Amino acid sequence: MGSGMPDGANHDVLPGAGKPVMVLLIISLLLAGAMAADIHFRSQNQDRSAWQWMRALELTAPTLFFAGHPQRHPQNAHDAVDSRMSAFTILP
Amino acid sequence: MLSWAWRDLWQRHRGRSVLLMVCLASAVWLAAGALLLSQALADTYARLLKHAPALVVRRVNTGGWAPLPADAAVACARQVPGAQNPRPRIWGVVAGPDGPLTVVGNSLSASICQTLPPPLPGQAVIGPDILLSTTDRRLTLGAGPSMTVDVIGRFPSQSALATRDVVWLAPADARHLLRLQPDQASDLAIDLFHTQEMQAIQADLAAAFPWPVHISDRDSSRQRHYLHAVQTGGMASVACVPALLALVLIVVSAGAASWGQRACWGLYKALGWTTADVARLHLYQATITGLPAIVIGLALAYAMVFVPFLTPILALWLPAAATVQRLYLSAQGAGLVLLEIAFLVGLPYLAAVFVVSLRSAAGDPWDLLQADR
Repeated sequence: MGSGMPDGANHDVLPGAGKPVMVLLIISLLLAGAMAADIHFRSQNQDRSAWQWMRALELTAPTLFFAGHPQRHPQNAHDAVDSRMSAFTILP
Repeated sequence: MLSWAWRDLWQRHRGRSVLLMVCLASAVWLAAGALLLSQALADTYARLLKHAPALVVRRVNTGGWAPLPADAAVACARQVPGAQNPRPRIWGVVAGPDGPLTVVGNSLSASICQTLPPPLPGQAVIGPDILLSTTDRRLTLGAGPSMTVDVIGRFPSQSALATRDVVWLAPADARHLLRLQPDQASDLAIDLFHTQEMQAIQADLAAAFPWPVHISDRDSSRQRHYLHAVQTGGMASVACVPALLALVLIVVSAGAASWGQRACWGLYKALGWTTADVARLHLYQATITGLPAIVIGLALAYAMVFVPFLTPILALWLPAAATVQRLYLSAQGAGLVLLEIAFLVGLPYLAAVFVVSLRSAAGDPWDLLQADR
């Protein structure tokens, strides 16, 4: 009974089956390499300008939050005082 | 073997494999996003607060904050052994056109002024994220005493972590906006000879001033910010509980799938495969689906935390991410979190697949062939 494959073809190989695996592996390695490279290059002196100005301006908190947010100047907040009553909260 | 594993996955279990990859990537993305954001916040706070003044002394009265006489306050602080370089600060929060802004009126050192010229009266240097009309480079500040200043420059965008909402004014302008007299300051910044004395010296400092003061120290500030970062990650982790449950189900289903194919393993073993071959096939299949899924999940989480224009996507389920941007990327912190999540998800998955495949394939081929009947 014929197998549907040409005579002389090697029946033990899985034609092309290895390529998708290689593609997935290469994509994974590329993504991991890109993250590693970004971590390596960005972590050097990425915030030099920020801490220089923080020190120069004598700031006590980073500006991860904009002014008016309770986390912007938390050192001035008192637990017993509502933040709306704080002298550092500007009313519109 | 690798090609066989791929062919088996793609031709016989394509739908299940794709679903497994999507589920794994989603679980990794959710868990890594929360932990990376928390770690990045903590790293950013710790890194920048190292350069903040060790102590800040504020005068208080029954109404809260009160301005302090600068020269008298400096003289009082100098009496305390260990307190170094007391310097008055002129700063406060004032109304801007689009919301509150932080006004600073300190005189800066000559070295930093070489990079950016200091503002003269009527001029201002503003933070990189303060919106300004493109035609009119003027900024109106203050709601009570108000003034309009010419914007002569912006702080560098790389300094946004410290200067995002800061308006640098000439000292006289800042005093006018903050209702300070010429000899008054907002508070007093102090360095310490021994930073270990940060808590102990506060009582001596408070006693050295003739008026009530409130002293805040850098360590407490760092602790407060660290707690905020941890709480942010902790709250976000609650959202990961269903994802972790899904991860457990994925691991269980991976094992159950192997157990359900015992007749197939019996056939393979009858053809000459060993139990180790079957276990290896399973491990290859688990790696083909698991490795790309974990790496893609980690890369998505990483990009959404550390690439500013992608942060709004993370903010859809982590509201804290909406208010922060340009976080400090610590190689040690971020790297550890990425490895931690990869092992946290990858190891139980591979272990479950390995153990179940070993158990399901162990035994006589004939018994395995009869198992599904």
